[in-house]
Amino acid sequence: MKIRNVKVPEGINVSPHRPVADLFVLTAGTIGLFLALGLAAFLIGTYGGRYMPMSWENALSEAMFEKGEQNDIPEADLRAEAALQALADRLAANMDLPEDLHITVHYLDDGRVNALTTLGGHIFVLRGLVDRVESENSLAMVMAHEIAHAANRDVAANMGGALLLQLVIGTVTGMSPETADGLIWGSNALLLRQFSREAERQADRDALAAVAKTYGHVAGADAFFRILLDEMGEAVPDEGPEFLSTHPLTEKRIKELNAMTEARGWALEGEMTPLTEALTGLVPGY
Amino acid sequence: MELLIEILLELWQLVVVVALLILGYIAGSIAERRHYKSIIRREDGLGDLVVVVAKTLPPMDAAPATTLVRGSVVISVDYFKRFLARLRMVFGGRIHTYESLLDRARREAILRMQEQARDLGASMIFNMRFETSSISKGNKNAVGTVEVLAYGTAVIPRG
Repeated sequence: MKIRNVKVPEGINVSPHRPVADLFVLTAGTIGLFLALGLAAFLIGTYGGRYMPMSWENALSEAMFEKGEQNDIPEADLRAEAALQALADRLAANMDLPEDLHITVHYLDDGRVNALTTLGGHIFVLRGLVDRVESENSLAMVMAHEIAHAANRDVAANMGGALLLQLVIGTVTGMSPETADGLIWGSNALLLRQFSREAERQADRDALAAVAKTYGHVAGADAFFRILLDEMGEAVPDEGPEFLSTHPLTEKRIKELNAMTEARGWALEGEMTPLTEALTGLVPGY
Repeated sequence: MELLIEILLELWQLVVVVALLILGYIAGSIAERRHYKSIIRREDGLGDLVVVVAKTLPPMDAAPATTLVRGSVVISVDYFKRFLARLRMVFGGRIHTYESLLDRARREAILRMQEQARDLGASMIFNMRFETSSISKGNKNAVGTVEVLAYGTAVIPRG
């Protein structure tokens, strides 16, 4: 009797499969998983930053920014800073601030038209802005906007979100924190920007309410945006699509503020308060 | 600028990975197809050299000569298969790409053992066994490599 080995049947030990399709499905799944992880980290960081106790934010701010002693600040700058601080205090009294938040205003001898907020209620007002505004009302709107950012904990929320996102990107890709950070801030991190635009709108609304409460009318409140439009008209004719920008389009912001004024029945006209003497005629110093 | 360079460097790594994937897939597919062709052809040719796992010989007229025969093969997974297997390890499920790898290794090992037995003039191999071991085991960055050893007792009829 002739016996032979049974022919090995194909397709049992090696099941039929499509490796390339598998690769795409699995890769997409992995990327989706990491995106979800990143989004979760960002949201946790944002909420953590926004809702952490104010005392923590103050402590962080103290730890991050060393107080530099500067003795050669011109007298005029110190007076301007005091005047700005007084204005901020008046506005803050009419705003809903967390208990431990104390607004500290810093005057910067810088020609750019801007004001900014950092952790712990530190607000920087640049000389360029003070130069450009024509009334205290306009300056108050900008400062109230910055105070609102501090009060809404937007800075802490942004930093918390970016920090955790950076951590996830760094862990997953093995990038250095600097590269990951650059990727988040440098690229158009759409997520971050959407959040940021919402924060800007809220700050606009809070600021307008504060100005209305402080002065009894909202005249001059839109001046800053008009100045911005002016500046941009010179520099960049086209602001670009809104979803790529951190701030809502300026035109849109003015429109929204007008609508809010109308809805709340605030007076559009009123007596404008001139800038105090300390804030006029500021010159570039040292 | 520095940041841009850094991001490009990160991207460059991605390009390398994709290139290796494509290379691995093409080279791996060609190698696998050729190997299977050769396996099937040789299995057919050696079909009459019977391999059984039984431990005892069937009754025979004269006591045959017996000797140990073995066939061993070392086979490596390609970059593409390893990449896919790693992804699979995240989600679970069958690692198809490793199935063909081990299937090829086992069949090749049997063939080599049969070839040795044929050279000795054997008529059959009984008590055939497998040993499988990973050579790359414990070496984290090494590409998966396995050794499969097939061995058995060759029956050489006297005559």
